Amino acid sequence: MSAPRVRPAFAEVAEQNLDGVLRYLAHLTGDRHLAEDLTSATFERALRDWPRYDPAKGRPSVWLVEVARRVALDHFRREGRRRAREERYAAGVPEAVSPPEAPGGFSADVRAALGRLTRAERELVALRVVLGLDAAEAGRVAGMSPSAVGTSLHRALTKLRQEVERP
Amino acid sequence: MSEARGIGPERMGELVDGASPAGEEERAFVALMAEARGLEQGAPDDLRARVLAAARAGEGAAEPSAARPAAGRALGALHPGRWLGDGAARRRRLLVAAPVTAAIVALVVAIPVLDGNGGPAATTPVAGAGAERPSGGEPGRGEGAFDSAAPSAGSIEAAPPAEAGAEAAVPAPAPGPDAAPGRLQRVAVRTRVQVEDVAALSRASSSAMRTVRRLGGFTASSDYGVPDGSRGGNALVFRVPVERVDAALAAFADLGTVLRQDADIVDVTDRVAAGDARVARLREELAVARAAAAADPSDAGRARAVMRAGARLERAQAAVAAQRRAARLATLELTLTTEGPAAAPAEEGRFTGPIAAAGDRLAGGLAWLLGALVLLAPFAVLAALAAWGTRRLRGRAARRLMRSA
Repeated sequence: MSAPRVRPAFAEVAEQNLDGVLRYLAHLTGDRHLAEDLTSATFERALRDWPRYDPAKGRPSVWLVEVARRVALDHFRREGRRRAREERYAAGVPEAVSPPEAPGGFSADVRAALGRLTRAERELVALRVVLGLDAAEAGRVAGMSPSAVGTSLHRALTKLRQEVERP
Repeated sequence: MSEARGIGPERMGELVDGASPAGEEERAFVALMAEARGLEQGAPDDLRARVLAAARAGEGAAEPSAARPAAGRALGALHPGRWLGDGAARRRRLLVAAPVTAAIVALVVAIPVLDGNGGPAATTPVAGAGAERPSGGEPGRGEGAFDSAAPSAGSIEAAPPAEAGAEAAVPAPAPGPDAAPGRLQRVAVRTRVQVEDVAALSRASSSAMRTVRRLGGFTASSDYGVPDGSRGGNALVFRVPVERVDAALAAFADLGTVLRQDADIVDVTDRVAAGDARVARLREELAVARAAAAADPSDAGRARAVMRAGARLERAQAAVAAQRRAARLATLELTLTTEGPAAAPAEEGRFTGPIAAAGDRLAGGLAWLLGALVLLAPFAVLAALAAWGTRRLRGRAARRLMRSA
C-alpha cells in the first residue's frame, strides 16, 4: 500500500472517516452513546494534532483510528480511576454490576456475542473486518506485529462465532 | 463448532481481506463477517453536523501550519505547547522538567566555578629555552621579567613550541622569570636538561639540589631512575623564592643542554588585594558588632554576631595569608635526562601553518563538543530511560485495559 503524499483537507478527511471512527469506537467501548461522545472528542483532538499528521506514514483513516484509540484509552483510564474512587468511598455497599452493552446496530446474536469479547478482541474485529484495514495497519493501531494481528484476529473471530452459535 | 477451528489464521486473514470462501465453513464465516460489517450504522446527523462544522471551522487554523515550509514546521516543533501538552499531562511534565532543568543549570554554572580558580588572574605560559619571549609584558616590570597578562585579560596563550633536535638544543642558559616588582605571582617553571651519561646525571642532580638550598629553597621531590645503566633520568621538583628563580634557572642551564623550558605565571596581586579589602571590611564589621554588644551585654544575639564576625575575619585572614605564601615560593620542575631530544618538527611550509591552525581549531571545537556530550550524556540517558519506562508502563496499562470486556 503506497501512502498518499499529498495532505488532504481535514474537513474532507473527517467527512470520509467519521463513520469508520464511530464504528471502531462503538466496537471498542461496547456503548453506542459513549462511542458518539468519544468520536466527537477524537475529531477535536485530531483537528488540534492535524499539523503533525505525516501523509508519508500512513493513510489519514489509520491515523484517525490511532487518535480514537488514544482518546478511548484516556477515557477508560479516567473511568477506572473514577470507579476506584467510588468504590473507596462506598466500601461495603454492594453494587449491581451490569454486563457491558454490546455494540448497537447489530443483530441480537452478534451483538450479544460481541459483548462477550474483550476490548482487544472487539478492536481487532473492528479494525480488520469492519474498517477493512490490512494487518500491518491494524497492527500499527493496536501496537502489535502483523503476524500477531493474524493470530489474535483468528482467536477473536473463532470466539465470536462460538458465542454466536452458543444456544 | 469444531469446523470453525479448521480455518487457519492465514486463511482467515485472506477471507477477511475478501478472498472467495470455499466450503461451508468458510461461507459461514464470511456471512458472519458480512453481518457484522453490514449491520453497522453510520454516524447520526447531529454528530455528523457537529464534527464537520468544527472541522471546517478549524481547518483554517490547522492548514496554514501544514502548508508552512519545512523551516516553519521545524520552528513549530519548538513551541512549548507541543511538548508540554495540556491539562494533567502538562502539570506532570512540568513537575518532571522543572527539577531536571534546575539540576542541569546548576551543574552548568557550578562546573566552571569549581573547575577554575574563579579569580581575575590570568596565566600566560612562556616557553622556549632561548631568550625569545612573547612581547607585551606588563608595563612597569623590569627587563627580562616574565610576561604575565594583565589581570583582566583572562586569556591563555599557547606556548610556542620548544625547539628540539641538535639545532634546537639551547646551550645558553635561559634568563629566568623575574618577579615583577610590587606584584604577587605564582610562578611555575618546567625545564628539561640533557646530560651526557648516568654519571653526569648523578652529578647534575646533586648540583641542582645544592644550588636550590643555597638560594633558600628546598627539594620537594625527586624521582631518580636508571633502568639499564646506560641511560636514566631524574625528575626533580624544587620550591624556590620567587625573586631567586632567575638564578636557579641559570644554574640549571649549566648542568647540560637545555632541551625545553616553559613557565606559567599567575598574577594574584588583585586577588590578594581583594582579600585584604575583605579583611579590612570584616574588621570594621567586627568593630561595629563589638560596639553593639558592649552597649547591651545582656543581648545574646549581639554576642553571637560578634563571634560570627570574628570567625569570618579569621577565615579571610587565613585565606589571604595562604595566597601570599603561595606567591612567595616558585615551583621549579627540573627533568634531567640522558635521552636526546625528540625528533625535530617538520619545517613549516606555506600551507602547513594555516592547516595546522585550522586543525587546532577543529580539535578545540571537538573537545568542547565532547565535553558537552560528557556533561549532557547522563541526563540524556536518564531522559531516554524515563521515556522508555513511561512508554512501557503506558503500553502495559493499555493492554490491561484492553483485556477487559
